[in-house]
Amino acid sequence: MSEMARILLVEDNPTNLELMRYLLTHHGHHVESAQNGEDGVRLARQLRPDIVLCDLRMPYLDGYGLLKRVRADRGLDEVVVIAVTAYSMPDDRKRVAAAGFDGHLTKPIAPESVVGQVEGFIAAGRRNGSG
Amino acid sequence: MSQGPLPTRRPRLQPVEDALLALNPDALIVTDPLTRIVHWNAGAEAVFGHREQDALERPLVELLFPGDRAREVERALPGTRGCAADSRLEAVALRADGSLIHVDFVTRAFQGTGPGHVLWVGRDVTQPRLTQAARHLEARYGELLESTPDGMLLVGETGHIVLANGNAERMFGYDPGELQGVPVDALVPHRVREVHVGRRAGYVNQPRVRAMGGGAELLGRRKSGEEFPVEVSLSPLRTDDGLVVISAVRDVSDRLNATRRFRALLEAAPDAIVITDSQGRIVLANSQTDSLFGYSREELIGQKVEVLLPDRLRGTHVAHREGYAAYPKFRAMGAGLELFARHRDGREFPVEVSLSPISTKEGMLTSAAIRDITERKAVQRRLEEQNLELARASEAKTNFLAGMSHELRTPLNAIIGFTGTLLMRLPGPLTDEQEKQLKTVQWAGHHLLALINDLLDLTRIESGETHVDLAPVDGSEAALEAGTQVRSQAEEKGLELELDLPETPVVIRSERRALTQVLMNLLANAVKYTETGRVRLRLRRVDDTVRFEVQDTGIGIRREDRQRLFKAFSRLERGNEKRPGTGLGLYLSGRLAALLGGRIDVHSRVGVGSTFTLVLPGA
Repeated sequence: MSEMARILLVEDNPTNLELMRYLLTHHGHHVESAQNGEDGVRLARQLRPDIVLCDLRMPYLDGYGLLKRVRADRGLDEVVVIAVTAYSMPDDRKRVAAAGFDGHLTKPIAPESVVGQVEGFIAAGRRNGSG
Repeated sequence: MSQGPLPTRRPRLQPVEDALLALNPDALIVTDPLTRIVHWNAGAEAVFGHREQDALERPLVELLFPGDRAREVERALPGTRGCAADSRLEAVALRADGSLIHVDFVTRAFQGTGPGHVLWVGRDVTQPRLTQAARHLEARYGELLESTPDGMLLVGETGHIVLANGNAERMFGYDPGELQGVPVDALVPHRVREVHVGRRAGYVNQPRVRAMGGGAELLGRRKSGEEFPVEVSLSPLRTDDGLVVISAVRDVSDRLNATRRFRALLEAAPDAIVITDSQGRIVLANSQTDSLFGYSREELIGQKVEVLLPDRLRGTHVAHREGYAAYPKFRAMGAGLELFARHRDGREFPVEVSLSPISTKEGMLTSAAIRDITERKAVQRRLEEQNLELARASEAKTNFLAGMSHELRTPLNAIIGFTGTLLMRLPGPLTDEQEKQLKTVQWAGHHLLALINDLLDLTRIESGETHVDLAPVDGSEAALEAGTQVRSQAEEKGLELELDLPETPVVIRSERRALTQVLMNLLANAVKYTETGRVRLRLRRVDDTVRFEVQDTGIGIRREDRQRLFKAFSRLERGNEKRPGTGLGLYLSGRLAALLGGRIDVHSRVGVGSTFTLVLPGA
């Protein structure tokens, strides 16, 4: 996929944010970022990105909270939300699946393939439509 | 003697006559009209044992025929109403030593020597009578007596044994015929003899049938002096030779020993044991019962067993008890029967009860062993509290590890990620040396990641947090998935990866994720330790198992190393190459296999290859 996408990264760790931004911009995508859930929701409303890549563990508002807010906003119906997770808690996997994310990326990310995965998520669009 | 002899009343006898009287072996007695003894010769003393001075002035009937016998003798008294004819009287008389004898009296009344004097000439005919009676009884009952299993003693009115059967002779240690004529008192211990004489006299006066075991505990005495417990039943038999008492004697040493052993057993038991009859009345209790419930045994015997229960449970217990009586069977302790018991002071305490029916002649008894489990309950409670504590600690540990793992991964994300971007030459070209070093960093990063993942998995399994939800799984699909995961690694090393799967699905009850993880571990190991050749995963059913065989053409494992394979952190030194891995893979796989109800078998030949087989239940 060579078309430029508008991507919102929500991640509290600056190094991880930097890595992802570097990879995605290197492949020609437009990247904006927020360091917590609150800012993430605000930016999402403002930018209406194609996709939100969002860490699960964050201060103020975590990934689940962000998802809830975004889903509650009819104006953000088309936005794909992907969890970026380290699967560190025993029931993370079940929780992510049950929460209603459109997909997930596992940390640590694989730099060789992560951009392709993100482009794949954008192409696939919302998993369950607006339901 | 309140008065001295009265010579005026005594007949004046010639010296010859005096000598005649003195030397006569028969008892020669003269009584006055009030039947008081006025003459008593040496023969009388020999026959009856009373000395002259003790006999004079005593009423003869009172002296020789005390009790009920007196009337019988009085009826037969001669000539007090003017009849001068001689008469004969045979009677059982009491001797001074308490023994009884048969006496044959000839009496003559003398009107001339004073009013109503009577001469009594008596002779001890005990032995002839006994012999005679024995002859009669033997002829009549001999065979019958020999055929009874008990010792049989036929005792005459005088207390002498008339006849004894062989069983009695053997029981008491006498030779055949030896017991005949022996006073039956010889068969009881000396110390109880006097009591026995009294009892016997009582029995002879009022004879009736008395069943065995109906009386007190009796002791017999063998000829050797040895004493033994007996049960005796008595029945009177009137014969031409007078009243005969038939005694059936049973040696109950064995039974008493059994009873004693039983009691000893009861006492030795650590539990309180209460035995109840079919109505729930306590018939026996051991001393542990006393201390557990605070009652003395005497208080408990005869009470309903419900006395040992709290009031609120008594009603339902009666129903339970009756239900049990209808279908009695052994019920072990801890078999769902936990009750509360009530101490005499009203205190309740938890008990465990086991029941077993005892079938006896007296009916169905129930033996209840009762154990105070207050202490155990307390321990149990403490354990539960500790378990809760442990669970909390374990949860804390899990949370800690999860947090640690997250914290460790975050920098790893940067290490692996930026090494990757560099190796992808996104920022610019690399020299060969830079690439080589970066690859080392990348390898180390991946290794660290694997370690963290395995440690986390391990923690979950060890703390019991890994639950597998068994559901139908197609083993072929799991094998395919695992194969896909390791295919690229195999191809990188130039190894052939072969999946030998059946055409039809192999459905087993398992958990897909755990199953795939084990297969992946086994395949990855095979690839890791194989330099040339192939890695093959074969799936097949064998009997009622499903086997996933992962076979490689690798370096193999020495026999002595195989036990260590499935231990945590026990990587084997195989060759000198540095191989990625945490040392936890097989350990985790083994634990997961166990969770899935299976195991991992290993076959290996050094230099030829190894086969790791995951064996799962096939259903």
